[in-house]
Amino acid sequence: MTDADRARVERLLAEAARGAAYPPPPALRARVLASLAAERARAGGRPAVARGRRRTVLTAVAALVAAFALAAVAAIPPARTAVAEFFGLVAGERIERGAVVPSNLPAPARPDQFARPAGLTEAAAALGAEVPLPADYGTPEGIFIVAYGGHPLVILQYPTFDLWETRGESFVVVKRVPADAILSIETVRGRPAYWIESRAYEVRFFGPDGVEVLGARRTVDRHALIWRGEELYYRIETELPLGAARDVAASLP
Amino acid sequence: MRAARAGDLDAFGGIVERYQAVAFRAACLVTRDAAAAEDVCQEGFLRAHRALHRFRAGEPLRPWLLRIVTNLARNELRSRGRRLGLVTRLGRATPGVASGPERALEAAERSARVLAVMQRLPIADREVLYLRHFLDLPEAEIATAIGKRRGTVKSRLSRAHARLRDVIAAQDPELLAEGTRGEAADD
Repeated sequence: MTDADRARVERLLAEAARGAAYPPPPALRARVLASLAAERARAGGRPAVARGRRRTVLTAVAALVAAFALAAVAAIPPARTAVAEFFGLVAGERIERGAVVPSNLPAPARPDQFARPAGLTEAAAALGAEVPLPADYGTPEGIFIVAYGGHPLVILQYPTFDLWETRGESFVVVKRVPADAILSIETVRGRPAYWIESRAYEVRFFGPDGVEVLGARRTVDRHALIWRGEELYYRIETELPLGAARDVAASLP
Repeated sequence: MRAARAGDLDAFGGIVERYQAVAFRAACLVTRDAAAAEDVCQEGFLRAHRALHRFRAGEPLRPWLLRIVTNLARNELRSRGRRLGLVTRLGRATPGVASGPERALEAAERSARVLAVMQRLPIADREVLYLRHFLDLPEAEIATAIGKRRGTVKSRLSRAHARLRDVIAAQDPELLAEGTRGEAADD
């Protein structure tokens, strides 16, 4: 091939490349991270990159974890349909889609209607640790404690969101959301999280025995970002979009 | 990268965001199907995450990711035997160099014809041409992306150019003449 031929071919290629209009790239981040978080949950919480040479052992661990999780879920009838959708990503959280019609739910309640006011010291005692406060949002307008089945939960009330914190490892919270709710799997501080964007939905609280805690059922009419940190379980209820909820989460110590 | 290798999902999310556009383009070019390219990219990033422990620190990440994605895309193409789909979309594009509507139309038509002729090349030839001319990768990164030495990339590119020239001459000889007229017009 002569130099002139090569130049012509390269020119045609350059023109074709300049003219290439690709479909818009998909937003892969959330989907990839959701798959990785699911893999991690199935593998007992270990990062995939750390598994490498111990795949056989971890496969057995994952199977064991899955078996325990399935057994736990099976003990709670309302949670069964959630298995396929959000299996085990955030421990103690189950979501059941299409189980409620928002217009049939009772009016939502605010913390001052079902929880008792408290100070930070009492809240810290309830948590068994210093209460983590989001750094960029000042002092909470209200601090509340509610005990579900003897299990204490702290609610920090801010102008645009409520932040729930608790230490419980053994309870299960079931969200019954309408069919058109937007559910997504996110990451908060490197951990899997759920984002629920919905009209009104119902929250039920189950004890370690699988029995629903009386008086704990309530209606929520705001979005929620839910995740489990190193020690505590967090829940942000807000009318703000996901990005703003993530900002709140990011400002926690 | 260090945080991602340590298992920080947010850090890996940053890598996905940074490279998803180029990975998607590469997958589109090879599969010629946007939906397939999307699946290929997602699977590519998942495989990359599983293989992070094998990635050598200090090496460029882009060609390493593209190698994973283009391998998957090639497998996808082979398994499904996809036909032209993207070519139509690519042909609708408006080249940035054309100055008037008529020249823009001519250039768009020429682009579509070039892409159509390229489909007659072996996949290995198309890959190096896509990586070099459509994704603007330097030869060193192409070498990583296709798992060959830099010298091999040079010879493969040269061979691909020659084959493309031959295919154009056989299938659409007017293209070469038009390319010549374009040179004259630019001069």
